[in-house]
Amino acid sequence: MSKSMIDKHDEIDLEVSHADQKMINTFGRLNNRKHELLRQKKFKQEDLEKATDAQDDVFLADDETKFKYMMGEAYIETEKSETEELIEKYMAQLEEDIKKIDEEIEDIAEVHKELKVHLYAKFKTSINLEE
Amino acid sequence: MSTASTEGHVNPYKVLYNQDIKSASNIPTVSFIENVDEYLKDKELETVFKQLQEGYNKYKYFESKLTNNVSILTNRSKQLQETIKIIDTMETKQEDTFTMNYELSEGVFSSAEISKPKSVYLWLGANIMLEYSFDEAKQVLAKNLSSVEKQLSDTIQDLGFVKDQITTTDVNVSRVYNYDVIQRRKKPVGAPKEEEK
Repeated sequence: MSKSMIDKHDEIDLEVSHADQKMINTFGRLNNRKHELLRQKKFKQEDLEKATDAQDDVFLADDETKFKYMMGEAYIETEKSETEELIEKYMAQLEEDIKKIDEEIEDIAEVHKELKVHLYAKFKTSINLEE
Repeated sequence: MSTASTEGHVNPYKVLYNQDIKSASNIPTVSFIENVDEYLKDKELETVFKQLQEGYNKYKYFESKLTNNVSILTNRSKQLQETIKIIDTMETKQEDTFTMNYELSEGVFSSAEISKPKSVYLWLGANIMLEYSFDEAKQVLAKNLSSVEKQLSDTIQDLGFVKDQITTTDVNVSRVYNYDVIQRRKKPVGAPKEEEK
């Protein structure tokens, strides 16, 4: 970050103040967090897809079929209706988690936007706030 | 019901939104260079770069250690939450008889019939397992969970702090470097152009 080569036009007035430094730090910190969140979101979405597949399979099975639902390291034998309930609950949890992740990503985007206004105004092209 | 354990607890990452992060465990702070010109007075450029590089390496080491701890603690917290959920489910089956498959050894499962479960056993470590009622077990797990979460939020704070020190060092390095370049460019006598707007 901000490890830019100096251009002749930019080598003026590059005094970085302590306040600027704090903004740059906040930007970098939240940028890390954002990437971590995006990674988590991908995993959760994959889990959700798998759960949807499982849900379909359960739906197509005979009503008398018994299922084995994983709990920790063991499996519990469940009836069809109970299995459906468990999967639904699991999916609702995943959706809730994804929603929370999205909210946090939005929060970060907002803070980033503000910081960019300040920092780009001062440093123009000498700073590169990569995402 | 199953979300009760995860609901209502604050996002430990909120601390990252603060402008200023303090270290939760007294990791030293990099000093921000207020004025490069003054800072470099009576200092050898080489030594300054070396110092900055040394600090940088130390923080990088901290960073990888803390990142590792965060993932360990996150996993532990997830496991505890998962366990609490399992007990929740068990509680709803107190009057039932049902079958469970459990692992005998890797890849080998056997089945057991459980009739009207009233208690669970928690592995305390050191080869000890203790029987608990559902409520007691949940209390024990909730206590463990809150201590893990406290550690986790401290570690997250420290990691954010260390990340800040790395960024500050990065900026310090490039400021010192840029300053040096400008000084050099100014030096040659009779340089064709010395545009200084």
